[in-house]
Amino acid sequence: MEIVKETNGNQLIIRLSGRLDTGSSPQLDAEVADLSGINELIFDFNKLDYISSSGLRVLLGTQKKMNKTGTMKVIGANDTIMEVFDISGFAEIIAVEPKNA
Amino acid sequence: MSEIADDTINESVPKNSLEKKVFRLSMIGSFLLGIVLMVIFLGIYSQSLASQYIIESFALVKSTRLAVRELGDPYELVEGVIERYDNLTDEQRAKTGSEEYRAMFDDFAQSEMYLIVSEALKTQNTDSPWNDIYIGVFDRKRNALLYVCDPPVGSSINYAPGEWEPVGRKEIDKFFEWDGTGRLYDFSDTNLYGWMSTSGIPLYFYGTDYAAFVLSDVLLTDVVKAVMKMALRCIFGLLIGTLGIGLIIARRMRRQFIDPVNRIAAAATHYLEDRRKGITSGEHFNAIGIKTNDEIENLCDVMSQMEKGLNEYEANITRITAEKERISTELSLAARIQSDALPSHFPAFTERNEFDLYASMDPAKEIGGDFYDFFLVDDDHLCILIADVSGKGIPASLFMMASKIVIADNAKMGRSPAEILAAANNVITHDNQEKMFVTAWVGILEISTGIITASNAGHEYPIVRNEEGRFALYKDAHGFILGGLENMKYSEYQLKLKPGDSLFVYTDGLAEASDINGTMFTTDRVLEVLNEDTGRKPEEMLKAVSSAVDEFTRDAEQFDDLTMLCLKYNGLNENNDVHEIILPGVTESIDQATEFVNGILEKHDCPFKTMTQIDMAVDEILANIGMYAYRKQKGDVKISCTVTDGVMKLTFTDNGPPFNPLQAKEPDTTLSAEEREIGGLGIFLVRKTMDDMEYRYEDANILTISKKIA
Repeated sequence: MEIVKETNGNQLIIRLSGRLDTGSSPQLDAEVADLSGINELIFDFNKLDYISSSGLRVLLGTQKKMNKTGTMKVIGANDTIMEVFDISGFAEIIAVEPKNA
Repeated sequence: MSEIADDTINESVPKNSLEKKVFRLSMIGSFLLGIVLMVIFLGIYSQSLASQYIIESFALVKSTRLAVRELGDPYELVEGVIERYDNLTDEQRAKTGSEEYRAMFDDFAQSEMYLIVSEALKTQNTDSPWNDIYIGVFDRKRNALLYVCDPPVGSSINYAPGEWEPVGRKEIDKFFEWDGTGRLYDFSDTNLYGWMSTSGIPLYFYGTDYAAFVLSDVLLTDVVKAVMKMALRCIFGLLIGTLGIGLIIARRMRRQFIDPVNRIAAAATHYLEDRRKGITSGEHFNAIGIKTNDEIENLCDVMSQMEKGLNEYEANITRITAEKERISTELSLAARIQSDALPSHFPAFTERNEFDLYASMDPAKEIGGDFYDFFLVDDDHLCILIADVSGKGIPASLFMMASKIVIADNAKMGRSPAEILAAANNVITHDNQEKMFVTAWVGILEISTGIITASNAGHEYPIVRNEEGRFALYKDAHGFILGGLENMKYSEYQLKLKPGDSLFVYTDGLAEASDINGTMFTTDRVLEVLNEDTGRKPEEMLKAVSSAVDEFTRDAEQFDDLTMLCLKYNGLNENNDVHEIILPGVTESIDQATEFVNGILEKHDCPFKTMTQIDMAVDEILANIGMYAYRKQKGDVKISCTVTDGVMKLTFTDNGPPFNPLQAKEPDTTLSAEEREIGGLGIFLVRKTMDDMEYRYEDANILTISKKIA
């Protein structure tokens, strides 16, 4: 999995590609460990194939942090990922936009 | 403890106490008796009193006559009075009682003799207060009593000389004709004095018509008065006596009968109370110790015996019930052990796609004598067997367990069906003292070819889907039953199953299942049901037969054990793709596992989305195994992947501690970010995205997921 971070002032965009799974989730976890000064966080999933429960776990932790300091959203989720968000109930917790919206 | 009717125990004295009844009865009885006795007594008393008076008055007249004669012998006085009286006309005489009449006799009343006699009479009179003593003459001609000298005494009426009154003829005759013996007296009811007794003694006789008497009247009214006084005293005494007798009888009654009865009643009450409390040890009736030597003691003895009898009876019942419960518990435990002894987890071989198998055993009683078994002898050989032990219940089940082990042991040694049956027969026959026997059918399927080698020891014909694709009886050669004779030889035969063919074996309980009228289900009906849809899976096949049997027998009691087994051979066709990989059970193996699975999926042109879902499932399951199953000890995970008819089956086998992920609690997906807990989410996602997920534990955790990929 590749992670590209883009910072525009207080806005942080994290672009992920490949698979956010058990193996790669710790990587992302490390990247979002320090979010000081960020009040708008965007995860770009346009190039992400799928997300596993460990990936969801990282997103949930990040959402909890951002709830205190600003906003967070996921954009460009494909069908598979949208389904995972729906099934797990994460669509209710995390703002997520599907790929072609 | 048995239920006793819950009415309140009445310990109070009954409304109509026996004691009161006896008291009343004895009072009435003794009072009546007293009255009778009193009447008799008073009768005797009054009679003796009256005769006492008569004796007294008779003695008085006798002594008076003596006194009168000694004093002055008034013969002439009496004669003079008689003469004057006799010379009167009837009209003159009728004036008796008047002054005029008295005046005619006044000279007599003034005479010296009259005064002397009258004085004598007076003297006699004062001694006896009831008596009126006088001298009178009975006139037989006119039936009259002529008074001569009747001096006034006390309250009695006195007559002047010459006065008379009428007297009954009978009385006159009695006095005239007295023979001088006994006492002369007569009773008369007079208007003036009431009942009266007149005693008399002759003084002088004047011709045949007149006789003078010394007479004495006793007024019986006085006697009656005395008797009444006596009677009053008697009644008073009687009342006291009656009360006393009543009390004595009642007390005696109480001591002898009522108290013992009350004690028995109290004992019965305590007995009932104790029983309600669950105390059964006491000897309630024996402890009373009634020694009355009568029916009450007898009653108490009988009650005591009854109590002992009831206690014994209850103890017996309790013991028998406990025994029954124990037997029933043991029986249900035996039933569980028996059903556990039969492989009952279906689908049985999820990693084997070449065949599908289902079996069921439905005992007529808690435990039965039927059994089936199946197991892989090696990778290419599946042994299946079905058998029926003669008889039912515990004996059959014991024999069944032994037979099952013997047959399975022989089969696992790699022997052929005929060899298995021959060897098993020898073992079973050798120890068979009870002359029980087993019918059995053993078949070994060569998975790679579909060829079944089978042998039949007196068992029902197997049913096979034949050339025409219809189910029919396969009339194989029958060997002798197991357990009958030692060293029997069994023949074996082969039949080939084409992919899609099924084999159906059963016990006689199926064909012989009967309805209320005794009509049997028969193999024809079995075939009918099987042929309704020859392509059904074994499980569906068995359920269809089972419900057909249920509908057929309806309310009839199940008579025999009912056992069925169905094997469907899928074959090794081109649609059946088997792959296997063994990896270390760590999360680092995920990439390798995904690559392995994706390689197979790509060959089957799996859509991208499905593939990512399967990849995600592999990721989650391996993460689980790596993080939980092998957290303490390391081990491998075997991944088998088969694709059959467009369905991919992935089986993960690990040797970690038993863990059924299907039993894990599902996460609550409705909670907010702050409340959400992490855990169980991975397996949850797999369950939701895969078509099916199964888990079983067979010395290893075996988790199978399936997903349609085409």
